[in-house]
Amino acid sequence: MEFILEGQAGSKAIFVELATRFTVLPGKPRTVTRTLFDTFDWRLYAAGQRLEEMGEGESVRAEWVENASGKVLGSMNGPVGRMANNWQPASVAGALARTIKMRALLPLAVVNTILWPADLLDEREKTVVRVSVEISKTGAIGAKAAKEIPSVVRLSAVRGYHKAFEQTIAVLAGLPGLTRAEHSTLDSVLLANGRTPLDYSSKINIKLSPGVLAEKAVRKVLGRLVEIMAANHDGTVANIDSEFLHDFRVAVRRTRSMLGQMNASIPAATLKQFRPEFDWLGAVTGPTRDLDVYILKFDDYVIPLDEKVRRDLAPLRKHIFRRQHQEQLNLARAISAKRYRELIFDWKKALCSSWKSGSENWRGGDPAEAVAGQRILKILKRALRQGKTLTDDSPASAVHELRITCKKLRYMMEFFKSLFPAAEIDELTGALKELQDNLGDFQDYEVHRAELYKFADEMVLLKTARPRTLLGIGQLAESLAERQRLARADLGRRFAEFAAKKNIVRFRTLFEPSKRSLLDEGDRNL
Amino acid sequence: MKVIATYNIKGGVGKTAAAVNLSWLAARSGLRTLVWDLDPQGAATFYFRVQPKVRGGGKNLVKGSSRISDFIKGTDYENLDLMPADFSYRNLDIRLDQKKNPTKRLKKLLAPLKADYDLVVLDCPPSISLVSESVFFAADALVVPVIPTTLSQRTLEQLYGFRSDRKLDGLKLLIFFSLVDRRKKLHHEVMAEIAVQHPEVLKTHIPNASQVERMGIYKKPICDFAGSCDAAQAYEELWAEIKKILWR
Ligand SMILES: Nc1ncnc2c1ncn2[C@@H]1O[C@H](COP(=O)(O)OP(=O)(O)O)[C@@H](O)[C@H]1O
Ligand SMILES: [Mg+2]
Repeated sequence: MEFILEGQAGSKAIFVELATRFTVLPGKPRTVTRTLFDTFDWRLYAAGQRLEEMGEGESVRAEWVENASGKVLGSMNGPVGRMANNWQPASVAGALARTIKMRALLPLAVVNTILWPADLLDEREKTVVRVSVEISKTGAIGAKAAKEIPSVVRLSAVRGYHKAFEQTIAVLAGLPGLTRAEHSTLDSVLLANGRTPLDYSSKINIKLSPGVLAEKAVRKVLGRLVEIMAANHDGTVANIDSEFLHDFRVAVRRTRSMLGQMNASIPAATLKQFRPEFDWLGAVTGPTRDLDVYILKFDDYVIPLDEKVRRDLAPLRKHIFRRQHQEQLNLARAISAKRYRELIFDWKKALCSSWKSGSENWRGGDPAEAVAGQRILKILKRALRQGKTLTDDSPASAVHELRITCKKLRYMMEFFKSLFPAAEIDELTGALKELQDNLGDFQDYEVHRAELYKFADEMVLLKTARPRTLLGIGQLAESLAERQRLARADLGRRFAEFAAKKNIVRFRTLFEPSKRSLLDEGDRNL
Repeated sequence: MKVIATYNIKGGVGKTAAAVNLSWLAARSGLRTLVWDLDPQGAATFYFRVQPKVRGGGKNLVKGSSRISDFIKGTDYENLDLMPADFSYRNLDIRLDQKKNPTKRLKKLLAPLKADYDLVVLDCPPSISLVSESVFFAADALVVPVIPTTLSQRTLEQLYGFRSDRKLDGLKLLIFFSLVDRRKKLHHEVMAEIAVQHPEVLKTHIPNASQVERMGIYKKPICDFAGSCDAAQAYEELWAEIKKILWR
């Protein structure tokens, strides 16, 4: 609970006023340096929380706080760790991980505060409220904290003494020059440092206007995708957390999918120039991402194994981390090079002006809604055909093909989402996601199982695997195979649910222009 | 959330002094800590300047008609809250008895606090009672102050006996010597003997020191008002030992 302090009202005046109600026990003035942290995509801010590191003299403390109530969700001595699992105790680490998951905490800004604290005591000399008057300056990380932010009077409730807290608020609210802060000072700190909360999202989040031409819609979506790549580039190179590469790579994959699916609305020369380049970008980012996924899933993978086997697998874990490190260096080199910079520069330029083509297959001048809708139905048809021909004996590659088709379908629905009724497209996306989750699991197990053999070979060559480790790898491979069998056994049901008649009818009504106009006619006739 | 209980069927051995100082040290180290004063005498409540009377009393709590967190009070220290003693706790034994499963009751009462606290310190009354039975089920560890006398050997055997009778193998027994008088030969002899027979007994001794008694005057943990004295330093060492075992 904070009050903004305007003008000259100092701590003295405020404490004098509070002394009419309580015994005011002032403490020594303190100088505190706070560093605010959040993830790149503002997961704490979005959850209404903040995390700060507080340095005072020699001591450093970390605190994780709920903004609205001021409730401390976790605190520890020492600096803020990069990842949730650096927190102590484990219960707080777990709770923090539920909010920020695998993302790293990055410093946002520094605030230097001179703070006049006081305890408010009741007639029994019990502390019932804590108050502090705080005068602060802020600055970016590494810069001098020189920007003024409003001074505040901060109240902290003591549990079980709510009445005294309300009384304190009433006293302060009656003072001139004090206004109750709507938001925590967090917002003014960010504002002063030119930071806009929630300025990054990995979602496409663009609004296409109805009737927009296909080529324009395609350029707009691709423009947003290259923006996501650029936003994640530096974090990917620096390997801050695995999510930078994840978002970067999804944007690359979506771009490639768009170039493939909407090729009739993109000039042939443009395709010829850029498709190989984005294929290259997909290829150089693949190995690191695969290893990242392996690392994220490793702990879950080994759960079914005996404690002893898990210990035997420690060298494998180490090997995967080492491989990730090597691949990460390759990746960082590739996307720091001229080829990448030129690609992004040329691509942005190519997206700037309208596309035209003399080709007889050119659809760029048609409404995006019609072109995308037709394409979506065509991919759907392919997915249905691939799914229906799957039998228990089909090879993993056939399942993989269905997975790729579903992914294309999903991307297309996301690209052009804003052109169709939101509720309906969300519902169909949800149905598709159920199927995709199963296909994704199946494929991860397939790839990760195959990779285990590769790791084993490498470890033998490097002499980092003892026989018992190799035996453990065998057990892990068998365990993954079992999980894969379970996923495969569930595929039939999931596909049938997705391919249910009611879903197909919904797809048709949503994406087939003739059906839609028929529906509209029907409405009008009613 | 870990739960520890200062426990000994005898009074005046330093249970409350340990509860108050250990919880203060835990809170200072950043753990969100709750002291639950289970003793109707309310000594821990007194040391933290909280009024012993709980709104609604022990009755509602055990019935489960109101939320347990409504009764908790913040102390004068950050991260450190207190569940006050209440005179109606005199009846806690009887009330617990009316429930089908009285021994599990305290554990159930603690369950909703899991998200709020990293550590709960139960300060037990002396005597064997249903309260202490339910404490055994709720706690991860008993912190047991023992005065080094010829009887302390028997106290230990009794404790281990209790634990095996009730099949509470997971319950840790953290035994330490309390009110140790450096000048008494007997104390040294007893401690030396027990150290051989029970090497698991904690290394730290809490000395008999007049400053500890002054906690009643200051109404503060000794670690707060005389942090550098021998007794306060001993509590710090004791806490370091206990912390290591709890989060091992
Ligand atoms: N280490 C100590 N040195 C001197 N006096 C102590 C010490 N520990 C406790 N006391 C005093 O002994 C009395 C009983 O201690 P207390 O902690 O309340 O015991 P319990 O909770 O086991 O009944 C109190 O007056 C307390 O001040
Ligand atoms: Mg006591």
